[in-house]
Amino acid sequence: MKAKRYVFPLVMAAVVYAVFAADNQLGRSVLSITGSSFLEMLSVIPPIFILLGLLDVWIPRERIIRHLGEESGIKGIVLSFLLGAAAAGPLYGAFPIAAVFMKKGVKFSNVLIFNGAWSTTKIPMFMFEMGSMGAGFALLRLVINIPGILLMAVILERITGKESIEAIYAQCTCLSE
Amino acid sequence: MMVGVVTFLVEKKYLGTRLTIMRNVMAFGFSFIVAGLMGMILG
Repeated sequence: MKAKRYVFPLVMAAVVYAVFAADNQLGRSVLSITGSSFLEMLSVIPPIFILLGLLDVWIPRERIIRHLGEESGIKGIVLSFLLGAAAAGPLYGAFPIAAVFMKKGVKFSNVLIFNGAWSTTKIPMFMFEMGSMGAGFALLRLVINIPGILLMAVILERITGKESIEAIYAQCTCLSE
Repeated sequence: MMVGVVTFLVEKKYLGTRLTIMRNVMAFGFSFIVAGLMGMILG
């Protein structure tokens, strides 16, 4: 099991080697993308995990349940959107946070909203988009995406089913201990 | 937007295979809806 986790990177290293053999120029750009992704992960993951640790220790479960739990209603939805939008960094940073949310008793659809908001309504990304694509484009995309995120969260919660949701909660609680 | 193929393995670890696939498929489909709507409105 321990060795298994290195299979994928080793296979990918072999692929990169093959690409290099076939086309040196392409190999170089592959390597530079790998390098920048690696640096991105190094700069994003440690702060997220530090903040997560603090969130886990400082904010009591009861308070989180009150604001984001089963009975949180519209307030919980809005708060989930805001939390996701306030994020910076790629989507893989959202999963450990979602795991701690689940451990703390956040409603499942709110976790999905948080994930959706993180991936499409991030404020830093939105600012960049306003600059490069224009305010009309950025605002229109936001207006279309927000109901979509909400709808997808509700549908996904429905079709996942109670037992699977409980299994996911158990898995995430285990992962974030 | 919300689709992550490379991060599938990470996502699977947290959300499970079934939900990960469904989430990504839905997000992929939704991207086309967004693109179509934006094309209609802006174009």
